[in-house]
Amino acid sequence: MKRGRSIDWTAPFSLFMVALLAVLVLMPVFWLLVTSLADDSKRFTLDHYRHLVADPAFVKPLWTTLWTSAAVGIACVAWAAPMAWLVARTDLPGKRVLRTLILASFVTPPFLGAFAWVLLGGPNAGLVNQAYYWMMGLKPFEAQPLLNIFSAGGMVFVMALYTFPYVFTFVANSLEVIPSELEEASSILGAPAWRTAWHVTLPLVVPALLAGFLVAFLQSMTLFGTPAILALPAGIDTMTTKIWSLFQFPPQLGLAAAASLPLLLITVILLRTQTAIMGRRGYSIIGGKSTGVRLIKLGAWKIPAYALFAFVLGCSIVLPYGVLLRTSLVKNWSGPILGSFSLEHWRFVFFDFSQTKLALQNTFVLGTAAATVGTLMVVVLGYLSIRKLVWGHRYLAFLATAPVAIPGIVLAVGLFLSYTTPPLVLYGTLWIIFLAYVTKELPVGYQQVAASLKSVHPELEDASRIFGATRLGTLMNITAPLIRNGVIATWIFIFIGSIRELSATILLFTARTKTISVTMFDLRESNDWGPIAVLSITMLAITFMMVGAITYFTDRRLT
Amino acid sequence: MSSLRTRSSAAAMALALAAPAFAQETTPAMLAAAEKEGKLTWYTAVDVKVAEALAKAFKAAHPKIDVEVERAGSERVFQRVNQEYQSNIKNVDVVNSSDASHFIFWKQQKWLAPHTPPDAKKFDAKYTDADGFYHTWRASLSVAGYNTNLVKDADAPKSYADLLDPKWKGKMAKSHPGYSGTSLTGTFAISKVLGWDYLEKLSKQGVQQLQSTTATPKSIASGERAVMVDGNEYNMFMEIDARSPVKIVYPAEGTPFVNSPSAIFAAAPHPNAARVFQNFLFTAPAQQLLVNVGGMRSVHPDVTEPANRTPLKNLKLLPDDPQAMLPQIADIKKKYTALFGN
Amino acid sequence: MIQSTLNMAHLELDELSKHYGAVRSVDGISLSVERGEFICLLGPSGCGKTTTLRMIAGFIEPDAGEIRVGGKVISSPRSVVPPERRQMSMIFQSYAVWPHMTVHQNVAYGLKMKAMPAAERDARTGAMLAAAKLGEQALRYPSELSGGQQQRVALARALAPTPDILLLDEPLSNLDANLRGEMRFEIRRLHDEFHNTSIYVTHDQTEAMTMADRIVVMNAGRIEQIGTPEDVYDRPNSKFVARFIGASNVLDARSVADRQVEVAGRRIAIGQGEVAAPGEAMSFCVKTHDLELTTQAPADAANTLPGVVRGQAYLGSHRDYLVDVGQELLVAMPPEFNAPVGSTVHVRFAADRCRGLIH
Repeated sequence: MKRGRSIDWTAPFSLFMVALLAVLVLMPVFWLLVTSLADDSKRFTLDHYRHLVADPAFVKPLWTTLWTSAAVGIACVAWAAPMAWLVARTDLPGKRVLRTLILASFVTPPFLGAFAWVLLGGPNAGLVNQAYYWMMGLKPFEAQPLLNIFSAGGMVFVMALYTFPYVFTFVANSLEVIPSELEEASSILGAPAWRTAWHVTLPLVVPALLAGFLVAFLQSMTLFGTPAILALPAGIDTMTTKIWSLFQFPPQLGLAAAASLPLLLITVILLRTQTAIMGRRGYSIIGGKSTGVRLIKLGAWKIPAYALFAFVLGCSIVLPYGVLLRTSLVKNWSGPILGSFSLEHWRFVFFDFSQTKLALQNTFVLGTAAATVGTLMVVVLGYLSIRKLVWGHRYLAFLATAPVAIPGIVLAVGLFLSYTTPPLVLYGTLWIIFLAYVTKELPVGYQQVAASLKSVHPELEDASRIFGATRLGTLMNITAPLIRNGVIATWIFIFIGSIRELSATILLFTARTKTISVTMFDLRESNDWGPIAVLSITMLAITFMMVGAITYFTDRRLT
Repeated sequence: MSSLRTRSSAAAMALALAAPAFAQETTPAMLAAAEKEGKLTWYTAVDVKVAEALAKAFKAAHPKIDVEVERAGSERVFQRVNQEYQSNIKNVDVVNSSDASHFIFWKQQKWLAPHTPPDAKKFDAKYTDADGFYHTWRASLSVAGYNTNLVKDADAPKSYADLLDPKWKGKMAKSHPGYSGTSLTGTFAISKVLGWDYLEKLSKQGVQQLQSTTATPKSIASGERAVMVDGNEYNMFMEIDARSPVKIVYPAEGTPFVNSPSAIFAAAPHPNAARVFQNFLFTAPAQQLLVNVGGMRSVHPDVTEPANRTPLKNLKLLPDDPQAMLPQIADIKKKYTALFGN
Repeated sequence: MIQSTLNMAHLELDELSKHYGAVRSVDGISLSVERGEFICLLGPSGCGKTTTLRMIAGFIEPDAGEIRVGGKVISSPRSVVPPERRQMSMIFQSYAVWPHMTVHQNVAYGLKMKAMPAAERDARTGAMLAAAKLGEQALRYPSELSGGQQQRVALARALAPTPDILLLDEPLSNLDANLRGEMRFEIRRLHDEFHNTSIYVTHDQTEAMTMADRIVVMNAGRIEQIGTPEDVYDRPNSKFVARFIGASNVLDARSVADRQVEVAGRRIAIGQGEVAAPGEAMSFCVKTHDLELTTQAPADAANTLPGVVRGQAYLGSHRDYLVDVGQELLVAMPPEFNAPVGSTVHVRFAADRCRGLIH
């Protein structure tokens, strides 16, 4: 032998990665559990849970959370399933545009939508209601408004507007792989189109519908911004706003921890259910890509089809973006439609408002750091676990995807508990927010990178080894360039996810560590809608630039 | 001047001497040190545009010192400061809250630095802390009001009692004492005069809950609600100046007077800049700016009130009582939340 | 230890084993390969041939035994020289041509890893591309090439660094039938030109027969037979090899005396191979074209069996008959011979072509 083998670092390295992930993911959950079971003098107690169960101030928000989340799920299915069917199975023209708009509502931060809908759907001054009063010749306060956004129903409506793309994607993907033959077989046996849709197509997409419903439910349950903006002014609490209010001085950490656990528990249960549904019955599907999908001719039905898209996309994109843009450019948002044009709010935000610079800077530093470190981590984790290089690869994959089950605000409570007391005091620094972002984005990043790595045939790496490159050399020469686009997309995903984060940041920020999202939330406290609109437009512009970059890189994917 | 005051001043002197010696007035040495520090962080509950206007005026006078404005409702200012201090984070230099009881608490915690700006010496004794830890930087009234497009002057409410009329059901906005110090002080004052059963009856009127007394005037100005139960008088002045369709109501039972002090933290990361800024905040020009631009009430003797505003002496006021309120704060918030929601 | 390098085997596998849980993927195989020899590892999927190849390459560590090259141990349970230090090349089932590199960059990669000076590297790469008839495609990316061209890139890339040992893992299985035939000769031609020691894994006996100097037939992790193509084709020494190499019928029989067996009450002479002790069960094999059918019962019943035609297929050059003699036999007859399905025929066994098998 030419040389003895150098020390094998993979085992200790893997151990280190497992430990790092465990600290990142398990420590917050651990402290959550411990704190929820300890009284002020750190003795074991079930008091917090007793309080939770007995006090209507907690039972009611939990109930509100559950029923509104279910309502969001149902609304999403009701909108998105027909939309998905229309896009996947019919000859509806303009699908590309429709899909792009659905993508736009997918990347719109939900709390921006909620801000916009305050301006649109406030019962008296909201522009939609003003238009309604004007058209009907009514006067505010004398008549019922068309809609009152400050209500549980309003909150459900706005949540559903930005959650339906999940259901749409699930259903559309599932419809696209159902071979037309299955439907044609039914038609040939004499079933009219609607019966075919009802008896054949629908049962085939039921798992996708259910999975979509569950994801929509989870998304809504864990949102903080939307309920805080729309439900709190109506005196309605959800679990997330309740947990937030427990952080008012003096913070009731034990209760907050105890109140977090139901959310964690429900998430875990629903995710397992979802896996079970998607995993069963081999729905993924039956013959794979078929010979091509026969598109159903809509004829005159195009009109109601477009009406559906116009309503949903109008409410989630056109009106909100429009009202934000207008609000940023007029002095008084509730004034006449062609109100006095003014750049005052832009000037204020970018020249007078002393928080803008710091908040922008923090947001970019956090976004860039979380995206860079997160991407590095998921690349290493993905490589180790997809190539099964180390004994712990199963644990690595599990730990990397586990945070998907931890709602943002729950993670924040856990991090707060972990890092406000020695040995490691990170509260008050960007580090704690950074940890929150990295942890929160790990699963998305991991999935993305794992998919890229799986598409790289292992023999491509073997070939490099046998021709004389070391494992590291192979990683640099072969693997890295081949997954480059996937890695760039991952970076951008994490970046977008981080710059819009609110539900975890809201518990972790301090004056020096404010982000744009929290600054907007603070501005809302005093109803400063002009500056909010300016920051919203700014955030949307950044987001769409990033989405454009993803499209650019993934379209140029190498074969 | 009572002997009590003299004794307290002596105590303050002793405290001041124990700490690194800072002059009370802005000396050239202090200014040089402040410019070296380069900036300061100001936690304030004043309206964000007023705060930025003051910061701008300060910056014009002292171009080498940046002011970072951290504006939030008084209760959240209180929460943030306390949360940060509990975690041993020293961000804040100068603080202003509309809830005077906060300053009593911070003083008890020994977190404040004694510092009396030269101008504060001209104030009536009831507007400065006997030990010099905080001084009434501004005062505001928590007034009621209505939208003149939506409510005719003849129909407008004249008193808190009028607000229980069923015709206002679903048309009112009120700020929440859980978030707003002005609201807490005002609500406490109302509860002392009218009792909690008045608030209970009010809660049955479907009152929109906003988080700040700066938000309620904006709500009625936009027409989102017709009547506000409480809101900052200064925001109403600003709306009126902007020709928004609103009018102020000084309720017959009395208008809550909200004392909004300012103080410096002992562990301020920019101690010199903090003092220069605090001194600036109490000068007659800054106070006049608060009155003219901010629509505030000032207790500075050299400040003149604009002609179109009702002078303080013509109003029946409900004075604040932070000492009495302090032990009851949690209780007030809890009772209120039970009635009105979070 | 001084040994003549002439006689010394180039590559040796010594009692090599690899287990996956309870499965003995490779079960104690030994093999000695001469320098410049072309060896085929032939067997069905799961026989352990690919695992063996990947152990030779250094991708898999053995659980027992060793691999030696030129007498030096490169793999043992204690230590494994990593693939990059083995001076080997490999051609993969998926070609594994790097999609982000041009044809030229692909072929030059191994030379670059050897730190060959750029000028020399370019010259060598150019020569290899010319040899592989890829000169015009040098600056193309693999996605712009046909399957056959990609395969030639893999080949040129593997041969460019003049490897001691060339490993080929089912390199032709992704090509269509025409190209496969062409590439078989191409690979052998290049081997004859460069004389690499080559280990070729395949499940296709035609590939093995046309290319190999020696074929190693593997089954269930063990070696069944090692021999020249003629050896394994004409002289299989186990039922498995006889069946796997093809064109053979394997019949169950009972040994009687004098190198004869009894099948369905008749005696058949066994011209070659091993026979069991009289009275014991054994098998024998016979090629389809070493059997003859007649419609009339022959006068001499020796070495014949009666049977019924169960099926027939016309294949142009000959006709295949499926005949039931109690066991099913496949018989190749000239196309002129025509016996309808269901008719009775008589099968004559060419005595010297029947090969006795006891394994």
